[in-house]
Amino acid sequence: MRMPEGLALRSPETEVSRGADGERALALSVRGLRVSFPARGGAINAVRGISFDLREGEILGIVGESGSGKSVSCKAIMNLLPREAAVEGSAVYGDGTDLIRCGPREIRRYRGREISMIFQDPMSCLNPIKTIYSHIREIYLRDGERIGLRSRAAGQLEQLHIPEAAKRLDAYPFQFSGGMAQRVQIAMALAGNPRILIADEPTTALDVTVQASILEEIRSLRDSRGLAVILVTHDLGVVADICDSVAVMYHGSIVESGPTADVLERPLHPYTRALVSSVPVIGEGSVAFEAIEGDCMPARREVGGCDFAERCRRAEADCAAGKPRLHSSGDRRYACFHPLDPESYRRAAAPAGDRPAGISGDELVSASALSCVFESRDEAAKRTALRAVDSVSFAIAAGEAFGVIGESGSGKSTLAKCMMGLLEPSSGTVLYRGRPLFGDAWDFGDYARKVQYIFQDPLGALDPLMSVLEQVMEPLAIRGLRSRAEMAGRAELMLGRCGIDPSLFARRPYGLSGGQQQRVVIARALMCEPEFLICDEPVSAMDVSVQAQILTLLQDIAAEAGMTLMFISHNMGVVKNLCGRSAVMFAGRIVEIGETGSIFRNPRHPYTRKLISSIPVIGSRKEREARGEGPRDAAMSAGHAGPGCAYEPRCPLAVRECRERRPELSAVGEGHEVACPLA
Amino acid sequence: MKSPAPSRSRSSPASSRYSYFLAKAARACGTVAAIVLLAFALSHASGDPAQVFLGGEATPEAVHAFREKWGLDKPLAVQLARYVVLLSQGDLGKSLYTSRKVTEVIAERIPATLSLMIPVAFLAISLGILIGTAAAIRNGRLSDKAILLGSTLGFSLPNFFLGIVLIFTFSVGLALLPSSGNMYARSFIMPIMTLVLADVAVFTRFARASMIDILGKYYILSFRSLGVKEWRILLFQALPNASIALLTISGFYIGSLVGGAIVTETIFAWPGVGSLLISAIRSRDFPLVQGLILLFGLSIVAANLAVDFLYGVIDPRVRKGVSS
Repeated sequence: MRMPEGLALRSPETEVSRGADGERALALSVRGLRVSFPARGGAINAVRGISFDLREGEILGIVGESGSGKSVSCKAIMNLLPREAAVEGSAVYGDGTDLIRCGPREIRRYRGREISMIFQDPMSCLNPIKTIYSHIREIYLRDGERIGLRSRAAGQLEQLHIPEAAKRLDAYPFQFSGGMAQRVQIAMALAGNPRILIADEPTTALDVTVQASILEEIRSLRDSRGLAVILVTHDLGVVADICDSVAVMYHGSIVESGPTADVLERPLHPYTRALVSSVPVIGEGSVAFEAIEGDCMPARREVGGCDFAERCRRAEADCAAGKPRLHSSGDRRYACFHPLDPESYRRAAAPAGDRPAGISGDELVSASALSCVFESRDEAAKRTALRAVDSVSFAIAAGEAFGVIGESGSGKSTLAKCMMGLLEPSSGTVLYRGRPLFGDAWDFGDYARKVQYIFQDPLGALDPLMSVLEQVMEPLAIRGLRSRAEMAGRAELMLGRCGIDPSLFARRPYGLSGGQQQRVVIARALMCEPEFLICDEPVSAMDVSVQAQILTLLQDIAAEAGMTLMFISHNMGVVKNLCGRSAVMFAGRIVEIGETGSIFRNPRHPYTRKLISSIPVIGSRKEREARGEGPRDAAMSAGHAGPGCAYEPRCPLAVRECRERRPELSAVGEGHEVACPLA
Repeated sequence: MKSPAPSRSRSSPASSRYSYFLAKAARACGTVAAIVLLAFALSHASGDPAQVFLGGEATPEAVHAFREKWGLDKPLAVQLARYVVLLSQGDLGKSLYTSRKVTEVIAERIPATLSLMIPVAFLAISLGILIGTAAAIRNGRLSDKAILLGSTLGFSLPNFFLGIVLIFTFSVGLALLPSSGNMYARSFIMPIMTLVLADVAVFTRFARASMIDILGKYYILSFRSLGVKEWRILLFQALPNASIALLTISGFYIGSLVGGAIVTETIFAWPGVGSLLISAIRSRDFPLVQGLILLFGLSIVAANLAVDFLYGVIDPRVRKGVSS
């Protein structure tokens, strides 16, 4: 194969020049970076003086919760902030130029050629009405190149493992999967051979198997051309997996930085430790995850002392008195008056080992041979049947927490809608307490009182015009309660139980943080005293610290009220920590079902194994070979029409039989069933 | 929200393109049928045409004769059937006054209207996009606020007021321009100014709003972060996207142009379709009114059909039947 000219490699010998002490050359040096935005009632300080160095061939992770200033810092370095932003400090590129002081004409010479940036949602970063080729062509035209662009573009995409690249050049973004769109973004970012890549949450919008392959791509680019990478993320697993060093940001400042393994496994700053502890883990055995109390401090708030003091369990009197300076010890830095003893940190073991599993109570709800078929149109406007849910059967016992794990397009939300009684299945039945849903005798109103739902986006689930208290009173009014005082009293009690401060009762939903909004949604759902609570990705849009708070709340409340939970998530760590039994879905089917502990300890289906191995985990870098789905994953989607196993095209174990017959679930252990004859 | 999993088959997109256009054309036919019915119903809903035309003092014999002559004595269904049959032959009936064919009367007036409206549409849309884009780039700055203020003034001023002010200034006061008719090239200046000033304000606002929306999208930021020149981003990335939103109002606008300038045509005694409508209504010439309603309706349907086709050309998602 001809070497595509698009990605002429920088030879590591010549480009990664080494300093006298054997250190690689500085690619970027940021000093005292401050960003503030004018606002009513004083400027908002989004970034409060951060400094860091980035060396060639280094992958630096910047972690922090939303609003911590990590994205703003990157945009400031790229000189991409709007005019009204006030930027101070310096970001000196390897050649000595301060990017922040560059004028619009000058900075354009650096953008894309010396330093490139890719953004979170790859779909929205591509112009929906332009072909993929026209995107890449725009980059070549920038560099004044006019000939042979098409074949170069194809070569560039091929280098990023996009199959049939030449044919796909004329496709539009909406015809690409998220993973492929991200590869296109990377191809555009690297077309000018930059030395630095800033990746702002590059895998957050992607499924975990696709995330693994994109991270692999970034790693191999670093290895092959000495690219320096700033990886902005909120996912500590991603940091642990790929970053050489990490900077933890809180409230616009770097509170701790250093080599990745040191920082994550032996944190000095209490915030870092709290962040690490709030990640639900999936490793061997179960460890407790602990929520950080309170919400992330909003950027507009100013306090005299340490920004984290309010939420810090180790805070002492002097913490509120003044700002801690950044201390250095070796290659580590931390801003804390009372740093942790790095060797003391061990995550506590979960209190009772695995969650209580199995059918202890009577069966509450069950699905048998449930299918949902949608009519969709393909490109040629031909009608095709999309089997979103494909003969799924399972049962949930009263009092149980049942998890459903799946990637986007696996049919898990469609399944949830059927269970909620909102979507009538094409075939099969859902039985609730032995009576079928959608039958003649079925009363939706009655069912809706016993079954409540919690969705991913709490703001969308709340009435924007009603106060918090009114929203939570509403279910009582629907149930016919007349006395306003009594309703308010019960609603207040429930809000308090869900951790909403009385000072927030009169607010409208948009005046609350995302975590608080979800608490209100939960409180409202609980006012009906439901028997069965269906949660569809209830914490997916939240920061890990808030995520942990909400999960703890759900867990406690379900246990208190003896409620049955059906918990749908793509986050396996969350399911592992919450659910006694779970099912793994792929392309509308359950491919594995059983006790959660046994699925994680001993995954039998190749897809489950892939899922588990794709999750980046703090503390151990996995073997690279086993990771990453490979680029072809993206070409496959749900609704695989062939007669065989839907996972067959991606399966490393597939044999001919897999193409011919669709495997049924069969027992491999006690209560553990797998739909794979090779398991 | 992720879009539903797009199918990966790469069969020819041609068939789907046609099916999209065919569906739009079919819908337009349905709308035309509805307009025909409405035009027929309207002229009958406004009272007995015979009474209306002949006046209260007409003898019963005269009324009877009038009805027989125009077929108004037949049952409504028969009248409608006759109307549709004649319509399909291009026969809109005859004017009650002049007894000339309605189609002829209208056709005479169309060139005057179009000669006014084509330059107006061209100027309003192109100037609107230009000024609106300029405002969007300067979003929030003083020049943007000045443009916003100007455009608010522009479409708040009623046409009749602006027209009269112009006539007083240039015809009465300075005696530079003719105040009525379309005899000279100079005659076009004031009516065009009157119309463009208001319409350009509307397009400026729309263009500004949709450009601001598009310039805030991530793909614009992405191209910027890649060092692509600002004018190329504006011209090749932002404008095509913004024009999708602009197409919608352009469709309504262009469609309504044929009958749109009723007030302005009347002020400047412009011999176009607008002033014809006014005189037809005044004289209760219902076949003529009916014909004009039909014309206005059809031109809106035609313009919107053209817009639907253009959507398909600009936006691949529409063409390929993907909901965005």
